[in-house]
Amino acid sequence: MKPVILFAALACSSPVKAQDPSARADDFGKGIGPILQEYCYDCHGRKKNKGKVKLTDYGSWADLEKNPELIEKMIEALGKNEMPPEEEKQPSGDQRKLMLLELEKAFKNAMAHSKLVVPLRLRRMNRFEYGNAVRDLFDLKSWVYSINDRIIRDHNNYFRPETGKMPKVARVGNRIMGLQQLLENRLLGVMAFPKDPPAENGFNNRGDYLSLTPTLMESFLELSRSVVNAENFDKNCQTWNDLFQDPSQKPSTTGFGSITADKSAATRSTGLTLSAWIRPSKVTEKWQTIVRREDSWRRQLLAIGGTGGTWGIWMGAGIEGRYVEFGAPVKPNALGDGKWHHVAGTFDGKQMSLYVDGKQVGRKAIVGKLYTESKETMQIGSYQNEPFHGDLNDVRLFRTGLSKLQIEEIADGKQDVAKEEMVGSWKRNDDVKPELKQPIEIIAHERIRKLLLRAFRSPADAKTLKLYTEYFDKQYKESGDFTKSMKDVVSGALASPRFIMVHNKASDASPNHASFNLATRLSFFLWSSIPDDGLLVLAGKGELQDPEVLEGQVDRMLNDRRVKNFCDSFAPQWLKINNLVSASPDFKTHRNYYFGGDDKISYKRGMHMMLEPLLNFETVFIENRPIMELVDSDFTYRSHLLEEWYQGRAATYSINVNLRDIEFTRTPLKDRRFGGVITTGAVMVMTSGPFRSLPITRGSWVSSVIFNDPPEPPPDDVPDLKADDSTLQKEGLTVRQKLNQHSEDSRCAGCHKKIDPLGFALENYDLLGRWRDKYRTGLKVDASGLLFGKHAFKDVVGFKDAVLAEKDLFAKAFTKHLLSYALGRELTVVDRIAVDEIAKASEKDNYKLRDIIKHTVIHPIFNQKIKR
Amino acid sequence: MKHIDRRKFLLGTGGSMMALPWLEMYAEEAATKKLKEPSLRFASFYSPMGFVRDHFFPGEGNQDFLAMPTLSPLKNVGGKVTLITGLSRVNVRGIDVHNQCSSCYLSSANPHGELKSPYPMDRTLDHLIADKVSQRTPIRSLELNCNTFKDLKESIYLDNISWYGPEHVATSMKDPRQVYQRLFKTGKSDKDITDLILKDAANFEKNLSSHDKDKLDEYFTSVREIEKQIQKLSRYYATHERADMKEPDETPMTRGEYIRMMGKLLVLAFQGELTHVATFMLAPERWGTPQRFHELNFTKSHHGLTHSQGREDIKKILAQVDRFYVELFAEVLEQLDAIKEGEGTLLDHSMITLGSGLGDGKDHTMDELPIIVGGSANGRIKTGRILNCPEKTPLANLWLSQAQLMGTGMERFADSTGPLKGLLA
Repeated sequence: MKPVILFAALACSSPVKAQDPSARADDFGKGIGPILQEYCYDCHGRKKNKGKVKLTDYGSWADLEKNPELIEKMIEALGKNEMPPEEEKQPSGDQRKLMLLELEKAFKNAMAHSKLVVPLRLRRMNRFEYGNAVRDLFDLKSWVYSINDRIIRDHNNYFRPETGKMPKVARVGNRIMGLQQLLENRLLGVMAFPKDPPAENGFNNRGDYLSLTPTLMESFLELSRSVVNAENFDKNCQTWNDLFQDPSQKPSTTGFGSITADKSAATRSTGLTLSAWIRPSKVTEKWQTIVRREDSWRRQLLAIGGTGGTWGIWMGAGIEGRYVEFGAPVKPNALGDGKWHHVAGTFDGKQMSLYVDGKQVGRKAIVGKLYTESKETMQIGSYQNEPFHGDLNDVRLFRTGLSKLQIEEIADGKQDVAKEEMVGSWKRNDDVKPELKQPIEIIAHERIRKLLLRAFRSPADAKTLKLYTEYFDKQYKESGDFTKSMKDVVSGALASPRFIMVHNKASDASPNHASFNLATRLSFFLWSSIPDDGLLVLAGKGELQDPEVLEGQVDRMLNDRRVKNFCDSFAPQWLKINNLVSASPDFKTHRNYYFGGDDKISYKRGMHMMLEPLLNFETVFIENRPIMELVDSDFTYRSHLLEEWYQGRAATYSINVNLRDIEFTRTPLKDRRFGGVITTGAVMVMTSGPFRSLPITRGSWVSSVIFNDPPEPPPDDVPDLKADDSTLQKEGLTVRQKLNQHSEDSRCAGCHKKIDPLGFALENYDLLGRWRDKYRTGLKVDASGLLFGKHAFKDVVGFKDAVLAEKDLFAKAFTKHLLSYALGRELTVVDRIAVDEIAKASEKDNYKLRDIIKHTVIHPIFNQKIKR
Repeated sequence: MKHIDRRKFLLGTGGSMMALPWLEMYAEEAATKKLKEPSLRFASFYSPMGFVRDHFFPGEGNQDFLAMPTLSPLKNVGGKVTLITGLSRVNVRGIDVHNQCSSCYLSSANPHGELKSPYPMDRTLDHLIADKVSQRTPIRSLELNCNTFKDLKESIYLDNISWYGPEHVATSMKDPRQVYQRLFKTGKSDKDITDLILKDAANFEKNLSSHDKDKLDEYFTSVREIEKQIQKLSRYYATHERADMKEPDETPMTRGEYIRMMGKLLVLAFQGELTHVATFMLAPERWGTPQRFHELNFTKSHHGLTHSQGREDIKKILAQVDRFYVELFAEVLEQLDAIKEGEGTLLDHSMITLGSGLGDGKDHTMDELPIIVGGSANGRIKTGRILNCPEKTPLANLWLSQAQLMGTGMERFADSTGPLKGLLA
């Protein structure tokens, strides 16, 4: 829905550079006037004013320039040969060119009177941005929450923009359609708020859509507390020591280390001993890791916790090709009494034994060869959701199973037991309280200042800073607990409007505020998150607006892994890819689209399909390829399962098919029917119904996504097309022939002329995205057509050529999507010139994706500073 | 675009309510309550895309609406419902019809006025009523929504009937666990943090544009509203028992079980007088996505069906969907009617409307809207009958009557031409 912006509302007193209007009036009468009269007035004049356009109202350029929306409309209609309608008298090519040229000029003149910058509005973060912002603020090792907004789960670290190259193989999962892809390392007990809906033909970062309500604010308040109090927050917080750690205490609960075993362990092991001193701060049913090497079945571990009703000490190791685990019961209170205890587990090739305080508490006969070649490190006290709570010390790793006596000696405190067999060890630093050079409050205040700078994306003014430091002092005075008091401060900051709201400061309240505004806009555009220290430092010096500096920063940001957020957010929304989730080809007739035996199963081939266009987008992005490769490329990423699907030799799969960690391989393409995003199975399936392809839906998708020209809503009383399979069969018509009858209805014809050719071009792909020459009725598919009334094509390859012939138009359409996303607002007529300029600047290098992004950022519109 | 003052989005136009401590209001009310009749409960149920007409409306002269296939599930409470015919909304041309249906259903904003948003939206009836009556209850209003679609591909307008104002949606709750928490948990108030962030917000940049001021006010009002609700709920639970209901868990539910669970929560909220105002979307408007109707044993796109209802076989299936939703609505009415309150039942002290923003899902007309009102609003509505209104009677007339019955003292509602004639006993 485009809001109508009244020109009068935008007019301001900027100096008028336009030509003398009276001189141009003649110009109008001589040039464009007669052409309009001859070709346009019949329908858009005094007698009729179709589409509520009455051109006879405009007798001079000055008149017309008061209505830039109309000029834009005229340029669109003339440029795409939509007007005059094909059955009417057509102007000559030269006349059309002249009109376009003159109208462009008029548009620029019209803009010279207008306010050039649409102000950016205060908006709240959406849930995708909030999760990223919190993660970056504390440099978390985990996600804040797992959400399916981020579709691709990366299993092999394939996304490395700094290399400029997509690897040949990407191992990925599908979070929204796959199995268990949301189970990943995240803060425990932290609930995301509901997904923000996208704007119509837009993105979900639009200010006008992101309101706050009590129900949502409740979530924000809850989040502000649950994040920092999540039981695994401390371990995952990599800024811990600079923020939450009590400076008068040595770090103790965080930063357990790891052991890299001596090389001799691989060759000279006869067994294994894991020995450690532990002092649990709490005993839990959930396992607490003492030491663990994670390597699938080859893993080795020592842990405490409950399993199957037994609470005790557990040892695990890979023996003879499988993972063996053994536990011995121990009273929880015996270990959780706040005192240090020695625990150990041994395996000597014949049996596993477990010890507490030097006494054997259990043993089990297991004969076999221990796997010793794992190169993974041994982590102390940490493994995913099973961290150790409390203190650990003096962890030793031996390459033999030590004897009862040797374990007893270690438990007695002896240091050099079986020293020659020891292949690794770890000790914590001695408990010495650090000396404070400053009062603790001063240290806290300094930390808060830094925190607020990052959280609020600009330096906090004295009043705000005081609010938070005084808050700390109050909490600290009451509780004496530094960490808790700091967490309270952080909770406040996370619930503050300065954090939740993305704000473009207008006043000069702080020095360099424009620079900070720019840093924020940049990071929300490219990282969907808050700026990092690098950007903040430059903003603080007021250097960010310097074009060279800015360009350097954009390059840096585009090479940073956080730019994955841009791909995760922009690409699926641009492609409307979520529509695939609910696409449901008829289960009975299209059984092989589904994995599993009945339609209750929600796993389907679309799960693989969805990833193909997204990976192709990421390739064009990472490798900075021309965006035309989104239409036509000589490569694509496919899983084995997709490959055979396109080749028409797909088997029926059961639910056991790989739904989690899928290998997508870069596949070179010679056949131009495939490649790019438009003709992927994903797009074809989501623009089809349960029984047949839907050419109009496809046309509307191409029109909205590729040309950024969403069709108007259909009239309210569209007659039923009656194009179900049986009717078509009976009548012996193709969908196309049937639709032609429908389009004869004059109210429908205008729009359908525009969107139908775009959809019928794709008719050779069936509702499941596979190639067909004929319909199932035996009738031949007709995919020919005319793009914008000038490029004739016979089939989809010809259609791709036609789109490529209009690459400037495609580039502008794409830029428009991108700019709307970058600014988080709907574009208006005022933005047209900026879009053209950004596209133009990217043209000379053939519209490479990263170039377009860069030109968007360095264009004055992004910096909210346009001067003409 | 015209600037809209949304600052008072929770206060309505009165604005003074929040200043008066709720407790005083409550005490005052309690003292006089014995003399007064039971408090009225207002709920508005929405079913998308209309109903198959000839299964819903009995023909002219036929009074036996309970014999209609779609309405027969209401027979147990038939004497306490009213079928209203002839109500219409004006369809503003040139903008998407489905988006208007849902987002403008409860506001019926003047269709000839200047659009303040993509659709003729305004503050909706439920909030106008809550402005007046919410001081009586710990929870201002409930916005319940039974949309379980995972794809979230459609717009916000199709998914919401309750709005604080144009473009300002009243976030609805779709998760029964969240509703349960809202009703039966007092919530944690952290006065310290609330004070801190309110002070911080007060210190926010001063010269904001009017739009930005509105956004910041959304923040203020939301924070205050939460605090107020926590206080009210803890006062409430100091003297009231919690309803005996197990907290919903993550066990998968069928479509029917899920909607029934949400209905149950609504009934408990009304029974305990936790709130007097609610909206309830049975399903979102349009949404092309196929929906699994476990109880009906098929997976179909409700919207798709409405378009093809010209075909007898499709119409039959669609009528099953219609009936399914009416059954669930009827169950809520029956539950309310089973609860004794004072001289009558809870249903007698309610006004529960089921309706749709479309008269006909195929032609997309907004005439002859299907509207059923359950409950007599303390005996004021004459029930157990059909109220035939003249063609094109504004739906806003009914909303105006309801607003008046709820004690708002309103004299006009959007494009109303007066209270609905013949509604009252």
